[in-house]
Amino acid sequence: MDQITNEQALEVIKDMIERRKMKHNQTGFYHLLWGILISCAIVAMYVLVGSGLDHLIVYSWAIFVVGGAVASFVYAKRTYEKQGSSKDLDLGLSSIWIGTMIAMFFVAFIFPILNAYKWYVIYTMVCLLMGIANISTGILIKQKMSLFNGILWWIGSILFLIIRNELVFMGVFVLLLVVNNIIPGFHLYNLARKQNGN
Amino acid sequence: METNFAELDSIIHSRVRLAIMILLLQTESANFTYLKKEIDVSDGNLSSHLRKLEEAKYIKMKKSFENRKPKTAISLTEKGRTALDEYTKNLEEYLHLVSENKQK
Repeated sequence: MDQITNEQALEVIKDMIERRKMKHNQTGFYHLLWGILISCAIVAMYVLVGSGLDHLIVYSWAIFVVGGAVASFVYAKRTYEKQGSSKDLDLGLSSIWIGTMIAMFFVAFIFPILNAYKWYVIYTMVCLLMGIANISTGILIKQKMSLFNGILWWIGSILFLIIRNELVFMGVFVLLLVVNNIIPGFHLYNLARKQNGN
Repeated sequence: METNFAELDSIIHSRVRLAIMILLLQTESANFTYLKKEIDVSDGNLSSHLRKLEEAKYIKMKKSFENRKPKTAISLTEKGRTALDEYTKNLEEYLHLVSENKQK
């Protein structure tokens, strides 16, 4: 029978809302993707600086950022096809991350080519953008961890204006990436797998 | 205890149709397979409930082909949103009254 009481109606509403909430955990993908891509960009930067090829840094950033934006776009499209539904939240999250990456492309590629600032300022700008993406994601999916990560990125952006030792500089950035992207990314990814019964 | 004052929309007041409406409220659009999987109903059952909602103009179904396969994009209409809004308001009012009565 499909007849329900008013109390059962409330249960149906709660259940359907919960089901949608589970899907929010797909954001783990964006955390992981960008954590890994930026880590690669940092390693490339370190190698290029060490080889005296500083002028190529902007190109390495461009490759990783554009690659990440394309991967995010493809992922968002596939998620829709797989789930069979799209919603404002999915669209919002994809827009935030893809928009952040387009901004990063300008910050890490276009502006340095135009000599807008020195190469190390890229870190401060990247941290600011990652902070915005993480905080917006945290607010949208009601995840305190993401909010905390966003605040850490912003603290990092200030640190990179102060730190001048190259090794400390790299160390802090790698630490921020691991704490803010890699760990939360794996956490969210595993949570989604468990909830989806995979 | 059923309510006498808060008339709940009989078109929405069914487990499957309410579930469809709530899922659609949270999505821009959804396909048949997605709704079937989330609500856990048979094809025939889901089709008949979708038809009822479509007849009431609470949802709209847009049929298309992708890679030669038929695809149906289902979404809420403005009338459907308003009806669901009214339904949840009435339900809330009812539940509020029930809890007040229990406290007395």
